[in-house]
Amino acid sequence: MFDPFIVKASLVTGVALGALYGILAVSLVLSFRMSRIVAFVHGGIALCSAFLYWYLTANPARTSGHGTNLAYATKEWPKAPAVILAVLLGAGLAALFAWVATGRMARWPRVTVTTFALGGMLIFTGITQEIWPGAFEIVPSPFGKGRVTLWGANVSHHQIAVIALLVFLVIVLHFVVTRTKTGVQMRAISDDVEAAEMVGVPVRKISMGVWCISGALAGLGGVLLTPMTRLGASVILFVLIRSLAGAVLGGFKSLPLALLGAMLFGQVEAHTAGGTFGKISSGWREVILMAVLFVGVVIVARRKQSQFRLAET
Amino acid sequence: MSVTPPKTSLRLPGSLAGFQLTPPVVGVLGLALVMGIVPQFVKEYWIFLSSAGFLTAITVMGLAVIIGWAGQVTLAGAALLGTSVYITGYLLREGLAGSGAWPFIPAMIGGVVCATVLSALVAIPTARFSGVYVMVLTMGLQVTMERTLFTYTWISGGAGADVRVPRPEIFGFKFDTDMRYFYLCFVVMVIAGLLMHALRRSRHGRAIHLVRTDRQAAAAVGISPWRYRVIAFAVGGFLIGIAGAFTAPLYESPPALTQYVLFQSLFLLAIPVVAGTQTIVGLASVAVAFQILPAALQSHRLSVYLLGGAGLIGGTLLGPRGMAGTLLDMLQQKRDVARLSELAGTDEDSATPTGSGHSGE
Repeated sequence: MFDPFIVKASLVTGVALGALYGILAVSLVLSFRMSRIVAFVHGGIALCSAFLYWYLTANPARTSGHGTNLAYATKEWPKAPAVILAVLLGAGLAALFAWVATGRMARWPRVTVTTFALGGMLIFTGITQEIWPGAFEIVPSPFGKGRVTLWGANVSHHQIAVIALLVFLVIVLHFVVTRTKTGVQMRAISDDVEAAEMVGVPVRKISMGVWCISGALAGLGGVLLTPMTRLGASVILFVLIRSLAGAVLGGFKSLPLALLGAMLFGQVEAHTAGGTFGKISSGWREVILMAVLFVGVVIVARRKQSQFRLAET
Repeated sequence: MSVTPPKTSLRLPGSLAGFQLTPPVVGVLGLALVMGIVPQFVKEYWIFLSSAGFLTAITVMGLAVIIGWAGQVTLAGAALLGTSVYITGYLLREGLAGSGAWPFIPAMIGGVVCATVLSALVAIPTARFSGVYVMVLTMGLQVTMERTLFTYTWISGGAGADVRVPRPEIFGFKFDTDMRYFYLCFVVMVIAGLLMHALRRSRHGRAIHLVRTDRQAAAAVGISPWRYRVIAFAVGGFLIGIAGAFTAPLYESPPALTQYVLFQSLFLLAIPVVAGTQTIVGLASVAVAFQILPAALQSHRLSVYLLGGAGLIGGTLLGPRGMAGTLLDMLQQKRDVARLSELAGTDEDSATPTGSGHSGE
């Protein structure tokens, strides 16, 4: 029989984990809806923004290697301007990527552009590794260190703020995508670039704008997720894969569904790790999560295929 | 009209009469000369690194079958390679379950079968889907392997464990020195390249290409796109498995887990993207260069992330034929221009004596 205390605690942890994955999932869906590619580059953007935020805000006495000549000379700025700069960096890097992806590569096969995005992710990761080699740092939260107990789970103010911010962003973006003229233009570009161009949609302008917003979100994601984990290339990549799974479970279609997908993935992870179903080794947890992703991909891909067939008939 | 002999061949006298030194023959002879002489004068470190480069080339050939022939992008290259490395290493290790180490060939078969089956298993349910979903799932497989099989110390050996994986003995011949192993890896790479070449020209190779080019046309002529995509993944897994099986004894101890993580998959993916999948020699050359370059430029701290990223971006921008294909195109273009100007010259020569009277116009 399930232990109610463990179930409740796992539920809360699952929501926090889902929020962690949800930030990048939302930015992935946004760029997928625009260009029909999986924007792996957001992993690199999130990493660059997270590193910038850490460099500007961290206390030098708390960085690794403190007291040696290998210590990082971080700046200890106030958090708010550092967050803004990190988000702007995300938008700028995404604009740089989009300049190529929506220009010269606008009509290239999706898989090729996705491979290009993988290259972008590696380049951005390489740049951070060149500037801060081997860094694996603790990042201060923009929302302080406070904690509360909710349903038996110890939750930080940071986690609560991330969930609230994420829900707010999804509502706003969903409204923009579904209810505004810009949203209609976005969907038109996503469905058929050439047709959208023919009816006078400013394709390049809208595409660049959406990429900038998704890049800013990825940058914000980098800033918000590292205080919950650690700052390092492997950590961001790990979260990116979970976020990708969330986006896939949401069908890469709508922002609320992506958030739901991320939450579902967070719940599965929290319950398997938290002991709701008894003790499960970390290896088996990965297999279960992989199975969830696998089933999700099969369902989504089959649905898309049948929609395509219906459209053809 | 005089006939000029082809410029690219040279007739040899005596008993070798009839044997022409065509460019491929010159290439093979040059390569044999380089392979025979150069290793005698370089440090063992470079010999070792070149062996790793040859094995990377085999891995990349496997990826080229999946990426170039079947048009699918797999992000599980390092996972398949690591699986074969660790399984083969586990079977080769002395004192396995009290039964002693396995001989190399059966151990190799074990590693290769695991990599082939794993690759085909991912392809079976996904071969009908678009490439983006295949990418996501292969990425999932990569992470799962990293966090399951590779973390079990009884298979991978564990970090810093004192576990020895012996160099192989094949048909009574011991490949126990770096130099001998270097030649073994080179021969295996050549065999893998020939195998790939033969497969590309075979009925099945052409079917895989047709499925990538036009699925509906393939289905119309009775070729199952699903079946041939699965075959491409299996062949890719097989070649990667071979590379892994020979990598296991290269280090003489289980390699670190960090060599088979997702970033390594991306680094491997960059090689066929840069080289293009049109020429096997181009693939092998770029693979060896990618293996040796970071070590050669160690003093400049060349990041493998930057190298891989630049490779993926540069290769994508070069187009599907990659660097090798672009070079071949440029050479072909140069030859065409030369031939055209030669033809134009011949026409002028033949036109002048008969003189139509329009030559000065």
